[in-house]
Amino acid sequence: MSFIAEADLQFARGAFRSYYERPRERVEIPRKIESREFGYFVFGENIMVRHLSLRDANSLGSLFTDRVPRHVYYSSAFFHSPSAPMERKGWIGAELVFDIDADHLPVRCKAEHDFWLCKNCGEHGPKPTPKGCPKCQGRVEEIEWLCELCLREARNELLKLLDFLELSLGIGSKDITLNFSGHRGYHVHVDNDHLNSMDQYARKEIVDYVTGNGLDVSYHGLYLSRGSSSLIGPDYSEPSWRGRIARGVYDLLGQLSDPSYKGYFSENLTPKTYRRFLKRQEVLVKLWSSRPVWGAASAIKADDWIKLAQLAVRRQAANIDSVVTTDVHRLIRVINTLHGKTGLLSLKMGYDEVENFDPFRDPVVFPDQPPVKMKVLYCPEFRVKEKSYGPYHNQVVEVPLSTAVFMMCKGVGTLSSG
Amino acid sequence: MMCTLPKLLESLIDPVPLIPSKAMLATSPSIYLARYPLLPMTRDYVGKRGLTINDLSSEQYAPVLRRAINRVELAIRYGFVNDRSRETEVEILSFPLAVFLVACISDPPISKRYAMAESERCSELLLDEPNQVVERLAEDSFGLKLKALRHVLGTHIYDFCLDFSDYIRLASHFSSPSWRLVNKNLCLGQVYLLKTEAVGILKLHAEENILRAINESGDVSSPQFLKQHLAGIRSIIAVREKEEERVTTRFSLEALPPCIRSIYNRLVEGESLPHFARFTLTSFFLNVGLTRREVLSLFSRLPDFDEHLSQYQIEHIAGERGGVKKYTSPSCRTLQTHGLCLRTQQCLSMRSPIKMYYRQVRLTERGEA
Repeated sequence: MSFIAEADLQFARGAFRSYYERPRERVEIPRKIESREFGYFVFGENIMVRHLSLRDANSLGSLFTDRVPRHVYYSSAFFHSPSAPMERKGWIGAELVFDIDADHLPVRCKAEHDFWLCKNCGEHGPKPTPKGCPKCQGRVEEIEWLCELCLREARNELLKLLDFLELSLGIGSKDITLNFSGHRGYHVHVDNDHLNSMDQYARKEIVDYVTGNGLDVSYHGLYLSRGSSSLIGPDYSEPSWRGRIARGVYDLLGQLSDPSYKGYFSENLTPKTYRRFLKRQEVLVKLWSSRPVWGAASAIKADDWIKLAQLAVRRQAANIDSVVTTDVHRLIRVINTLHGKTGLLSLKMGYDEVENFDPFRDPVVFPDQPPVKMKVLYCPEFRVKEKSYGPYHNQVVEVPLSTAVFMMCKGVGTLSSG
Repeated sequence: MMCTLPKLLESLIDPVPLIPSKAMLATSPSIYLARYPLLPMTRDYVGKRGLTINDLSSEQYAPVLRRAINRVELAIRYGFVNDRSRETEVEILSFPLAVFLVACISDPPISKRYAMAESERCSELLLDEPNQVVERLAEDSFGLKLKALRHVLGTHIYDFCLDFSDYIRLASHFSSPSWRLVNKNLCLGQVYLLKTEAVGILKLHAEENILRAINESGDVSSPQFLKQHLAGIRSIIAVREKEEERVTTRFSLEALPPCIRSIYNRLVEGESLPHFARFTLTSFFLNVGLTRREVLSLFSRLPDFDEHLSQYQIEHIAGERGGVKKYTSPSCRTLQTHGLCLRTQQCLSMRSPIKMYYRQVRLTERGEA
């Protein structure tokens, strides 16, 4: 993703520079900074400078004031020699990191709001992206847009993940740091000396646990009893996946007749199974209201219940990017730094702030004043703080500074001299 | 290289400081030393005796030598060493000598077989110990923080719990889906375990430690007084190898023990089998010499047969995936726990379906001859 003009790049860089004037007050200084590897991108260059070692918070501060980076990353890992080549760094351990990215969520809106854009004439369209602009043969670029629905889904996944971390894995909130990524997701850092030493295999097991990958419902209390062949299943109040399966099935039963879920059930259940449940939905919801009644309704086979439970597992699982968690050498964005694709802050948040976190308001750090006049090639509707903007198409608009930086970083608007 | 007994035993044991529990000492402590020779207190006990291998050539220690040879022979012949912990002195001293004998034989499959047999003995005994004793032994022998408890969930009663990060590390050696973290009851960082599972983990630890001790012994030269006995052990190995070759080349349906036959019949009838039954059948067939392809074709009878998944699972159990071990078939005790044991008169005092199968094959062959 690139700026439309050099002037836009310099403008955004200037805004970043002003924000980073007092970096130590603003940027979250990583624990054991001297054992971390750092990397960054500067404005106008697409190559990451990495394998950097910084001895203290002052050195990190100087990086922001001297280089004015567009993105800054640090290793979730601790090394003996962070600046050495990878094979000689000497891995000590690594935070357990989770990344929830709207890109990985099965949200329907993604196809609607991600688009290609001609940087010459402003022609645009949904993916797939053509090689050149069909209208003027100009350079086209894919734009990933931020939408309220995607980020709300990402936040729901974050809440599910926190539930797994706290109630299942027993990780206390004092060991957990949460932050908005500054773009389309959330990051969770678990920093605990005991867990930091876990290898890739152990991290994969944790990923599988929270995503339900490889889960067999028969190990979680759902099975046919020998002899009577009646279906035995878990209760709502049971811990771990058992309770999640029971509660998940109850949620699904309630959604069976909801028109907005029809497509979902049709995709994930066979037509016969779906029909059998749908026909008896009212009775089942009533029966299940106080406690799960597995095997209720004789016309519904045990296999149907098991399929519904498997669907509940997928719904109850936390949708995380497994690669990030299992990579023990990963570089991840420094908390409370600006994201070069949006100008939004990768804002640290407290546990109690997650529910009410507004990614279009809380991480906006640039002031509204002075207003900036811009020519917008194209952008869908979006919101910054309480105000909505767009959709714009080849229009000159005057917007607050924060909105202007956002559109420049996204590469959809350029400074207008007119 | 001549190894003294204490030194050999020392290499067997993790250097965990021992604080014997009052309960253990109040009963007969030496019986624990005899039952679980990996305990640090056994090392101390042997160390105080200051014996060398050559000391054991004297008539005074003849029972120790006899028992050590007996341990190795039982392991080779039956894959199991019996418990004679009442003869504490003999039992305690014969273990490191048996390890020494196995090191002298210097045959990796035999070392493995011996380690498995001794750990099997420990695990059978552990299953009969009170949970608090298992908890104590786990900590004293392996530094493992198993917590004994009683936790009822659904129809299961869990006897132990273990921190999840420790659990992942230990369970990584097992490839059955039932050991995966995602299939465990995990609450507030603790994985709940049945006693059979907790003992399974300890058994694996014991096996690894014994094997490590044998391997770390390096090239040991056998003293004169052991040469004749080692020759005897080697001849047993040769006979067994021939026997195994003969048995595994002829798979016999008639020789299947009742439990395996029952699962097999359910499979043939196309009944959907629970996971543990599938695991039992797969590991059994793989261990009696069926190929992966033959096992796969058996499972193709299942109504929910998924070729890719079945192949994956079979390869896992065969130890060809995940860098882990080949699975032995569950013992009779484990099958009892999972309600799959159909013990009959025919089973006698057998401890595993595999042993029962080989016994039947031999009996049939003798009959035919």
